[in-house]
Amino acid sequence: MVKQLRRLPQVVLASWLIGIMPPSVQAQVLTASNKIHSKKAVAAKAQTKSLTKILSDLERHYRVSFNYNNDLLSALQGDVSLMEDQTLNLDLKLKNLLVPNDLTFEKISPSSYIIMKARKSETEKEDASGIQVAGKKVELVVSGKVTSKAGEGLPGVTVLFKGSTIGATTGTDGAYSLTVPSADGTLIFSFIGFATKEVPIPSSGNLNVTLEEDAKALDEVVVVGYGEQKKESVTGSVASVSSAEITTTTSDNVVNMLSGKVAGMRVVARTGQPGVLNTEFDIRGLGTPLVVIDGVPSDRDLARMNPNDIESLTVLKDASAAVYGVRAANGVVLVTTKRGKGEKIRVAYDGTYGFQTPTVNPRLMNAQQYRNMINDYSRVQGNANPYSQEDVANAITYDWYNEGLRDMAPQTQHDINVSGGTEKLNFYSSLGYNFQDGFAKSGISRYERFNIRTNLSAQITQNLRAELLLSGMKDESNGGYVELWSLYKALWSQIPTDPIYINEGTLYPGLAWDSWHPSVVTNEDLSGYRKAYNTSFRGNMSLNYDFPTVKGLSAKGLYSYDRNLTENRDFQKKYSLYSLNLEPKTFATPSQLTRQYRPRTNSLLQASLNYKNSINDLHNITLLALIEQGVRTSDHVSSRRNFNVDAIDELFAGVTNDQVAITNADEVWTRVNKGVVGRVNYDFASKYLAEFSFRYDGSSRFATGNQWGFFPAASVGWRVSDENFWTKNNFLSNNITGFKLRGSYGIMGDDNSAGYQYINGYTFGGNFVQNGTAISGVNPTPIPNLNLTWYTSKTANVGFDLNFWNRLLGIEFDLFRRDRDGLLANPVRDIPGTLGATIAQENLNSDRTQGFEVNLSHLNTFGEVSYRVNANLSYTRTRNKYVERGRSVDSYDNWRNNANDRYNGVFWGHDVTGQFVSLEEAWAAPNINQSYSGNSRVLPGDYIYSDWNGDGVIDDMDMHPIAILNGSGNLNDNTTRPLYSYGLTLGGSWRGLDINLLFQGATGVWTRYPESFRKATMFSNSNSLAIHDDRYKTVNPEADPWDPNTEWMPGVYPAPTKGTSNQYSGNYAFQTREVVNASYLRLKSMEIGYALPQAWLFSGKIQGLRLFVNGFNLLTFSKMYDEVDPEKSSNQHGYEYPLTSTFNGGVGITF
Amino acid sequence: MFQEEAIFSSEAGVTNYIASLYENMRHDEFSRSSHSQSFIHALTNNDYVGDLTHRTDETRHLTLGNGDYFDAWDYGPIRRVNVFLESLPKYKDQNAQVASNYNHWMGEAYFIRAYYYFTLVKLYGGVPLVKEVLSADDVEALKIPRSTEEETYRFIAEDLEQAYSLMKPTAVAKSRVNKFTAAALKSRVMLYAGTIAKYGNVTNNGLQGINSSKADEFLQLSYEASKRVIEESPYRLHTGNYGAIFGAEAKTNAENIWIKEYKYTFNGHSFLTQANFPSLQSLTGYNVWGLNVPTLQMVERYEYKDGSPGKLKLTDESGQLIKYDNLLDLFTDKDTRLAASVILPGSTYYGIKPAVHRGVVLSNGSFVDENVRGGYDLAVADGYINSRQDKEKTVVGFDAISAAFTNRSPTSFYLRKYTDESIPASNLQQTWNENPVILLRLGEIYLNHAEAVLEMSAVDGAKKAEALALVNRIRARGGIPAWDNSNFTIENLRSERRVELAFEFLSYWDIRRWRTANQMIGFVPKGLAIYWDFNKGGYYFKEVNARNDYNYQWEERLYYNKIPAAQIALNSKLIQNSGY
Repeated sequence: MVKQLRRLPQVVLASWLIGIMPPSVQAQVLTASNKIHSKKAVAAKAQTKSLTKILSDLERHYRVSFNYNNDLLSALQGDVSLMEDQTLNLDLKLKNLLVPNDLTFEKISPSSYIIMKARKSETEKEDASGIQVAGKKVELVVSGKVTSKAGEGLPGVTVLFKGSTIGATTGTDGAYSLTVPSADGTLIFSFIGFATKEVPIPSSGNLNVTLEEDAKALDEVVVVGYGEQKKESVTGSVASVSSAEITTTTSDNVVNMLSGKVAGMRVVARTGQPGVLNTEFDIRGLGTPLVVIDGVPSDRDLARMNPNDIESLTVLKDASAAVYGVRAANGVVLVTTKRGKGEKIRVAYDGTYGFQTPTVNPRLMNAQQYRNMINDYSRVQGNANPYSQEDVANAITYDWYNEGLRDMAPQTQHDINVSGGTEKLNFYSSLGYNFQDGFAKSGISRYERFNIRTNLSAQITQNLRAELLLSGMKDESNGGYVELWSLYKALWSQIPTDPIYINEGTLYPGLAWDSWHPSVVTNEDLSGYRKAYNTSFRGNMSLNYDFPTVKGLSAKGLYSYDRNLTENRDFQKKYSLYSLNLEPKTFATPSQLTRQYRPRTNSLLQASLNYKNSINDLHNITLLALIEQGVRTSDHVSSRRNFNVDAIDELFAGVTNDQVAITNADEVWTRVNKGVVGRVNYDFASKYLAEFSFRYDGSSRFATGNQWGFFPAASVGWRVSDENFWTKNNFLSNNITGFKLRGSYGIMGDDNSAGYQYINGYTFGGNFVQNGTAISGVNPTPIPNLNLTWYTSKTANVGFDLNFWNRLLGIEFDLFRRDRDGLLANPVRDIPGTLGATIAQENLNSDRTQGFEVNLSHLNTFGEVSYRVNANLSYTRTRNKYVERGRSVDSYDNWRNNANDRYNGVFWGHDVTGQFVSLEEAWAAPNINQSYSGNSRVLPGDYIYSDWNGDGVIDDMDMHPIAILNGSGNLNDNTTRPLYSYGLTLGGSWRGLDINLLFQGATGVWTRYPESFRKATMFSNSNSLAIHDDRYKTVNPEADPWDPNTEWMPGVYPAPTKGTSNQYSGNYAFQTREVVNASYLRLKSMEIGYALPQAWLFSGKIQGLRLFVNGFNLLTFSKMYDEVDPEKSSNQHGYEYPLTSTFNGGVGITF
Repeated sequence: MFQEEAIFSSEAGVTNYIASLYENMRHDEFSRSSHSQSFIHALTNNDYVGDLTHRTDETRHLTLGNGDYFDAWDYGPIRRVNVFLESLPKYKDQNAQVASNYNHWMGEAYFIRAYYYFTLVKLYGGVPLVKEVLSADDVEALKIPRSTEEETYRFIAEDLEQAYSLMKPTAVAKSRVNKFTAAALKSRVMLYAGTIAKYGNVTNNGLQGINSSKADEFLQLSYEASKRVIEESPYRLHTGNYGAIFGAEAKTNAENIWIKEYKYTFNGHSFLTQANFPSLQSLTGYNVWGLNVPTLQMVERYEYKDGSPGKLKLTDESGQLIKYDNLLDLFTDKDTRLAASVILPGSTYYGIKPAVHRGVVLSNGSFVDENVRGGYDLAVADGYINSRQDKEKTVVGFDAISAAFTNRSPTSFYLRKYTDESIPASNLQQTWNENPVILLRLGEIYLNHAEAVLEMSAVDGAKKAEALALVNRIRARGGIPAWDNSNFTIENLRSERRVELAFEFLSYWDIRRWRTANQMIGFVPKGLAIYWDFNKGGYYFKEVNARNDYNYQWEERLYYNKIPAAQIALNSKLIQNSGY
């Protein structure tokens, strides 16, 4: 029932059905047929009458009898004016009455008629025969097919002849036929969930139309916590994306597919490595949100879902999340999977095949550049050039990078799903497959996943409905035994003049940098592997009972169980590399195998009562009462053995001495949460909206007495545009179609980081060896805190929704603030170290996060072209209020380290005001601390740090805030995240062609250039990135750099530095040359599709066929982009496996 | 999580608790933390050249800084001992295993508490004495003032005396202590107190320093404790190969009183990974570095077997470099403890000879190394290979330091003490080292005994004769001549102590307690640069500075570390050490 309601346009809901019939009847009517004609038909209310009433009038008038199924006609209306039209006989009157309602009749005797549903062929035949309609000469029969962007025929589309009540509905395959009185008119095609389209009638009478899905329209009903709500009456800050919007991006990770699509959701990709699905996301910068899949909190599954299974994804950003109580402080993401619908069985296949390339790979120095660099480096150390100019000129560059890695790797995804059912039983089943190869030429860096799902819903009796959702997932990822980021690191450092193989052929791989020879360490047979497997099973059963005696009351029970197993199998195989004289050197010894198991379970039991009623069409009330209990468990086992012979990668083949078995105590736990939820929604005439909810939540992670908490929330809304003064004001009502004001406030909590600190006891930790045997140590736990409880989070939100010119322009704006109190912190203040114990954390710290979001949307249609634009921008920043800390030792300590009442993520550093051009200049400059007297270790080209405090010395005291690291809100989280993130979606279609572009960007984000980017010869004689070739050099390549008479050529980077680096020697203080603006704008994804015309498809056996190409990370605009991807820059010192651009071709077929 | 009863009412539980008391003890030099590696130099004074990457600028910071460097202001381990001392008695009578071991375990706890306080007093002088489990509720009561240095030493003596009287004469392992371990530690601690009283100044109302009138009393306590160990304990001076004490026999050798064991799967260390020559990588499969390596001065401290000073003969009378046919010939007739402690050029380890030559001698007789302009070209023209990988004919040996390869010994020496070739070479990588560290051994007690006797204000002839005999047993082990009364001076004894206990992390503390660190100002570590005459055979040795930019500093106040400023901010009763 609810599902069907979602598909109604709001106008119809508001004026046609609501108040006429009880909701259950509405639903049945709508389920049975899609006989809604048009807004116009409905608007002509004064001239219509109930169809059954008209028919009985006709029976009396013409003395005939009509036989029909009352259910079929009971909701339908007919045009009364026809009755007075004396030019029409009974049959024509009947025809005009019934055809718009998709009905027909059969005359079984002169006075007896049967009225039934229309069969298409019959309608066509009779239309073609030229029957007069409404007294006018029929001039044309228009026919054709209405299809979706994916090429599927759309059943139930209303086709209306503009300016009249003449209309038709498409059949199950999307075909329609309509007799129109004039050839120079326009047809209006409308369908719930799709943008309405007006197309002039072509002279041929053949008109095929493709309807564009309308994202906004899909939101008419949105999923909210424990239920659904009409968009128009939502008072919280809620955003959703539909399946169609999600899947315009192709990725192995659902989270990547959300980037830029939801206002207020920050998505930051960290690596493109297959199977490392660690893209971070948060809502409004609040931290990791709770993910709820089909009503069940599921922390780990979102990234690995089959994107095609997702019906919608909704984000609860404000107090609307409060019904999830103690786990809701960071917002909630609700995912709803697809259900079967309709009566016909529908099979759909979607597949893509494509290629990935690194978004950017830094260039490396060649042999000449390398040897020049080492010469420069040696002379700076006071030594002679190790390479003569001839050595430099004759050096051979070996391409180590291409030895092991490639810049193109394939990926493919396939999804097949079958859905459909009968009135009583609906199903949706799918099988998804995802394969992603990596940049290792050997193919060792790969990821493979299978997703399987069946969602069943059954109407068991009139009042009892059951739903069973079953899903499974299995994936496997592999990487070389060497983490791939360290292989990148080794390749960037690899001396380019070293031969890759000794002698001819590949029998003797040469000694590589860090011993990581690219073709050896990516070869599973030679050096082992690092495999991770995830399997999960999830079952979710619910029963819904509508009490027949109390209208609007229903009860629901739900039980869900899921089990997830993460398995690791890390096999290290010893391997040999060879020196020039073929002496083997063995690495990675001994061979060893480590296996780990991490099973997790999650069960949830839930019971709820729902009540919904409307009094006099004015007072609409919805009530929810719910209890729930969740139990989560986690376990961990790890074991390892060494191998003498490593031919078999199983533990039994290893040797038993030195074997290790470990259970990580942090990963072994059981957690129980219980909650009671109540919610009241009330609206008066859909104008004044209010919601109140509470949750009484219990968590096993705290001491008795502090386990339960009360989390209330309230929100109000006012649909100003429904007020009389508005609707009666032509200017307002014509221009601003909708205006709603919203406000919400709620209290939530978070028990996530608390962990049983109320218990006094002893835990294992450390090992002591005695007589060759390890004995586990036992230590007392910190002094317990019985008062520990969750922190509270108070969230306030105000916003408005504006809608101009019937969706030509939509504006949503939200201002939010979250205040957290009682954040856990170790109480350090005023406790002398002589206590000798840590004290359990207390609820001490507090902070405030605030920001805003704007969402603009635009929908329009010109002829056959329809398009939409959606832009969102959000800003968030966190300010510490109270931070527990020890007393400041002095005023400097206070200035530098006291985070109280300061924005978090302040990046301290020096200002660089330029580069020295001569030794004299360097000697005359303020002394750099810790460098020997008079800046004697500073060279031309070295950075000039500003003497910020003017004391004549450059040291820590000159550091001051130079940039912002916008963390997750945790004080110690220094990962760079943007202050502003934004997205821009452009979508359009023309006939069968559709296009979708997504731009996504971030600004107000800084990062520090990671090590190889900021320093040449990072590791003594290592190779360097080619950017460092543009450095200060002596004009004479053999000149002594320390001689003041030496001439220099300027460059972007400094020359190599003397000695090893401490903070100041060698230009590597934190400073403004290294801390760079990492703002970016990317064409995150683009998709172009073409739905083949029906005529090209095989005689209707295929319903729709759409071909498409799409890409991911196609264009990037950023200051940093030439050498390093701004999104991933800070991970693993920049060595992280690159982010990828992908290019895919695909096909979608519906049978 | 376990409740108290589960831990203290069974032998297994108590063993686990004691295990963590032991494991948390600080033996800084072998800790896994990167800090400890970088400050080896300061800990050991001039035995070693420290890690190249942390040298010079920061050397002074070790003792200056914010006082937190050793992280030693940590009363956590002391609290855990106090928890033990207060909890175990509650369960004494509940379990026969607990009852039968009760006294010994209590003794171990007293020993461990004494050890922790000794760590503190060495660094800071007098410290707050916490003898019971404190409550967090009353912050004022936690503001405990420092006791004087003398009181602190006396408290440690008391704990050790308790430990001695409670414990059995033997323990289940050498890594666990017994009554003689308590006596041996007391020998060391009281010697420290006695020499500090004798050589140091009392400042800060006794928070730093001990009145010199107490010197004899502490020396006497040390002397008595040493006698107990020497006369009553089962420990015996090892007479065979000196190296065995630290290597293969470390866990069983009768000389070793207390050791710490390591196992790479649980708590391996990386000391040897940082002290080995890189050629070993072919066996370990992973990087090893020559960062903590012996200096030439240390090597020369070892006498010749004829009793002559240990200066190496690099040049002849006319100042010309002497050519030696074999690398080891330079070290002929040295104290045998040298070769057992240092990997000398030309010696083997795991069957590999480190390639330490830093240059070659061309056929025309000229010396060439990487610093000679065009040197590589000259050498290659002469038949050498410009590659470090090939040991046969390379210009610069794979294990020799160069501008490009700084993770090599700058002295041409590598460390042999603590090595044990019966341990798989693969355990010499990363933090997988398993070689035990010797925490207390009888050799030190002999020397403590002798030092206490010599430092006493009134020298007793019988005691001195007894001490001389002990020292001569130590010297005999190195094959060097015995001393008589004329040689038996405090200066000579200190030098002998440096040799016998070389690389055992004691000399830094010795220099602090003797107040002789100022003699080190301006110290420059030296090494050998070896030139190989491949064409004619033979080697030349040049003395070179191992560090050119070395800048050894010392100030009087550095005999005590700075009390962490943060702790003073928290506890107004704490008084900062002088000079900070």
